[in-house]
Amino acid sequence: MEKSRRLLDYYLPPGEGFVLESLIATTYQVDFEFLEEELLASALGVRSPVNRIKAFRSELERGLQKADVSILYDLRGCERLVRLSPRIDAIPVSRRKLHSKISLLMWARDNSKSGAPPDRCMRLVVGSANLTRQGFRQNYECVAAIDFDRKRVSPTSLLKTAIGLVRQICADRDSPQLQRQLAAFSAEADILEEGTGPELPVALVAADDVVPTLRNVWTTISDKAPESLTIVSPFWAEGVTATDALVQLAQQLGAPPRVELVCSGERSADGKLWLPVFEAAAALELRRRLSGQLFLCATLPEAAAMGVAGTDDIGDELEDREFATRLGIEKNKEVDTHRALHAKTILLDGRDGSTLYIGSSNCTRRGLGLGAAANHEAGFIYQLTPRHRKQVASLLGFVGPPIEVLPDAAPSTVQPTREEECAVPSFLEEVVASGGIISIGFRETVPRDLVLLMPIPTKAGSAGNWLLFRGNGENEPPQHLEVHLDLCGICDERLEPIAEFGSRSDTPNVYVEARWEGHTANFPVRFDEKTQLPLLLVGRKPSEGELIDYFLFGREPNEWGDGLSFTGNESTPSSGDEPVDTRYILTYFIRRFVRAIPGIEAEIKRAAYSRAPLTAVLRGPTSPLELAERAFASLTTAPAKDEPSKTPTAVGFQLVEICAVLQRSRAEIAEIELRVCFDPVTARCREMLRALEERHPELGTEAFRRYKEQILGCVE
Amino acid sequence: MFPFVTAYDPLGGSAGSIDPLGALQTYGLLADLLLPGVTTITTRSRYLSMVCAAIANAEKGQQVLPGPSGLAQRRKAIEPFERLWALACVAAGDAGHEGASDGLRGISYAERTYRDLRAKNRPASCDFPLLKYQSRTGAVGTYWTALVGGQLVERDSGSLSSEGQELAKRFPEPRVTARDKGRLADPSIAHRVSVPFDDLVMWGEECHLQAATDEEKQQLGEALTASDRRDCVSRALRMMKGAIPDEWNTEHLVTLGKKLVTLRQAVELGLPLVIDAIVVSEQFHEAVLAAFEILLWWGTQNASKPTADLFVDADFRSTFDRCRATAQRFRDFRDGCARRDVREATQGLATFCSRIDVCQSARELVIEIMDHHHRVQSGKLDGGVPKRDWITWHGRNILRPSPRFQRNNPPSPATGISLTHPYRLEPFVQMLRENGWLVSD
Repeated sequence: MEKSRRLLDYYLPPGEGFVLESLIATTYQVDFEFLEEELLASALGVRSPVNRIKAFRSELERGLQKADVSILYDLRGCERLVRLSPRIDAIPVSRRKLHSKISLLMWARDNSKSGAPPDRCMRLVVGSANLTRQGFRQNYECVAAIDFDRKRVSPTSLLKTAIGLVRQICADRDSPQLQRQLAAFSAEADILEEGTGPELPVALVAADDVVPTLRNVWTTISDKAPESLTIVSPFWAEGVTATDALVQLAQQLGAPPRVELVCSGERSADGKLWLPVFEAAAALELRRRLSGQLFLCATLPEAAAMGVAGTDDIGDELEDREFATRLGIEKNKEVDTHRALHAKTILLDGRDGSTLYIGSSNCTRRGLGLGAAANHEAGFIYQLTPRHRKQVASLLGFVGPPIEVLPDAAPSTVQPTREEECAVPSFLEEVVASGGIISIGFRETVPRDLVLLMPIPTKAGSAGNWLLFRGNGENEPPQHLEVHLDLCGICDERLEPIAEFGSRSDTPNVYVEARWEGHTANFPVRFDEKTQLPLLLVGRKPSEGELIDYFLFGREPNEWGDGLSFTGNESTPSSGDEPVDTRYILTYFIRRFVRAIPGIEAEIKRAAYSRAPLTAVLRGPTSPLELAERAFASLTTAPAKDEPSKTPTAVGFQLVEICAVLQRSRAEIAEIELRVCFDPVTARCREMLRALEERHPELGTEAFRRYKEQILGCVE
Repeated sequence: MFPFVTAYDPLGGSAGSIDPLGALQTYGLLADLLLPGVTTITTRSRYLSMVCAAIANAEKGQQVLPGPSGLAQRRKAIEPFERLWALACVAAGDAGHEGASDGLRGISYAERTYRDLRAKNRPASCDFPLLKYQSRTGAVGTYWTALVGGQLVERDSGSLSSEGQELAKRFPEPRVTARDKGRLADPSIAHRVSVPFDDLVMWGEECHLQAATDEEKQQLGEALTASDRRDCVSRALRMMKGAIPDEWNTEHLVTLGKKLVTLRQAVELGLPLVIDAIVVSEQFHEAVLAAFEILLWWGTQNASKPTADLFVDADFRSTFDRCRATAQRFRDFRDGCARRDVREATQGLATFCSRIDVCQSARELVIEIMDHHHRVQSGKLDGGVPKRDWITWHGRNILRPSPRFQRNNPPSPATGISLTHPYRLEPFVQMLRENGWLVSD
């Protein structure tokens, strides 16, 4: 890929025609607002600006239908679930601290025109950046990305290690989507040829392996001790044994005569000096215990060498930028830049070369496995020759001048502050929605006063909450709960029961609110059957007429609206001299349906290169299955506005034709894995057809049987 | 690849965090009543011709699929054509044609590629990246609304209307073989298109952003004024000759409104009322936004001081007076407004306005602004995605702006002159001017 230092660029497709198929990301913190509105909007090529809320969300959801996105994050790392798309699997991890930042991306490019299988490209991004706006746009972060595809030789062992690390993190998680995604990455990785290159890492390591691997790689470079050790970290070992950990680290890495600790920089209390954030007493003690020199360095508030992204890429801006400029928001951001240090690197340097670690591990006991239970971490290790020294120096371009720590004087520093960790519902294992049923799994001791609420999704205002569970304060709650939303009580914020008003939503929300022991926190809901969801959480499903118009003209249903104004003829029918209103004539309706069939086939053909888009096209909210369901239901429900009353023969005809479309489209696909996507859809359509035939004797005639046979061949 | 330290990247998408007081919805509705089918970033009308030509080429060069697939296919087919054209525009600029590539989306990418081609004297192709994500921020992403609004393409299918077909014919065809024209229509093989450098330069002479012929300009002007509303505004702008500003403010809008009053059709469409609505809603929004900005600044500078200190500040009291005065004006306007569409467009701000209108003290004003901001950010007002608050209020006593929105300098006071939103007039004027529908001053 084109070299860029803008992190967001590494989430864009690798070339013309590639479409995001799968994204798995692990992170400590996640800002779902940033994820949806910036990262995924860019990755999926959403055209509508964020300020056009309805258009933006429709486009984003359509993009997400065709891609699998799973985000594994630490439950302590997300204060507020602001996610609105149920199509993103947000998977919280709480048993062991999840601190690794691994992104696995897979894109596919349709090659059906040339008769070849689709091109696939994978990218592995490893570094220090959380999935937050600060991580992607503001902090100093150190990251590396490697592309993998069938046309190049790449270190696939690293990709396999990354997949393995993600598997470890989600070992106790039962997410079918994530398992499917990991299987797809593994399958693709198995096909690729293993290789390496001069600027590629030699290993991808977890926390416990950082120090041993650095040491081993160093021994392949030189038989002497390294001349210097540079550690970049925003956080350091704390407490009375902090120095022990750092001394142990330096010794394990060969006790180099020069040690540099690069810390965050902050202005001194009097505002005159720029100082490293490090405990002065710990620095002094460390100096006394190390045999060589010790230096502290503060990162610069803004390193000119690191530059500002985007100045070279004029034209990438959207309408939102214009609004921000007008309101003076962006201007304000440029005035006082202070880039926070969040990169983590360890560099062993000597005359014969260098060994470098970049990744998520802070220089703490848990980050590097120094005598404490290690976090989930991930980082690359590089073996570098002296020729790479210039590149290595550029990695440290944000580091200010070193201040030597002398054995008899405490250095001037800013004392680090500790952030208190908020209470999280670590007793929740998972919350899974399937239709209107919510399954809740618990893992450890569940608080006896636990209350679980799910806000009812609404377009505006509040419609109350489903009261999923309320502990009585005495008995321990069960280890597993299954709640049917339609049987569930509704309450307000104070848990007072409230009456329902209007039609009740049956689509679960994307999060539940847990209240226990005076704490309140949100926990995400996972939707394992995403194709059944409406396009928008607060939207409605399109009517049959809207679906026909979609396949016929490409007109997208207005899921936000009430569905009362669609179809080609939007005028109100009237008498007199005006032409006959054909909307209520069944023949005209069926004619539109017939004319829509090529549109259905074209949609399927366009998506028939990859499982996710094909499944979305076959079973999503604007799909032949949805059309079949609407047609089938039309005999038992009153006709929608602007639609005629249907007859069993008309619906039977529609179902046969839809089955035929599926049959024809399936036959055109060579890949067995993709053909399988048709099976549940075809089965459901045939089931509806059978039920219809059983219920309506008029479909048992010889004429209908022969027609069906002619169109579908020998059936049943 | 070798690791890298990430670049400082504060610009780009702003995460939708641009509307702390929920005025964007009102702005969008009013802007659509004034200038539908125009956006703030559609600045060069010849894009419309180029896109029409690209679609025409796609329809000629390949079988277009029915239904929604056809729309996607047409949009995708525009991209290689746009890339080749971008190179030609840069070539024309290089040859000294003024304005040939001004406003070109992705100009830095095209210039880089062009410089490389020229240095190596290699034939041009469309096999280079234009923008980070061309389909999102290129011609299609930016100009599609204008194409639909100009009645040049069908909204649903993306097929050309008769006007679109005519415009496509007026756009000079790229100097490539018939075979390459077909390739240009198919993104999967478009990278094989090859144009001798001199042919690219010659095509650039006639296809660049400033090179539309008189007939083409006439047609582009017609597309720009295809809607009655845009037509009325363009006529009023012509009447403002000599007084059209580079950057619009409320005073200029009032002048435009006076011209619109003289046009019967504009009055029938309610355009003078739309202008009045814009002025009062902007003045109200500017006033409350200034108060909100003061809270961000004051909270940054006085992290531990109680807000009672702010309420007695003389400057803040005058801000309070201004908020109330503009709220009253906004309410009076709505009370007297007979047009339903204008009333509905301003509905979004009306509730907030009525709350500010009855505030009796600076403290009440702050309570209302903070509560309203919280409702906006929680997505409760318009069904939007919940976002973090820019500022929180601890115990209704201490203001704490979130780090991203801290302010080190006091904001400028509201004057009632400047606009807090771009009402699409600047790009519309520019596009009318470049087609001779409005004479430059």
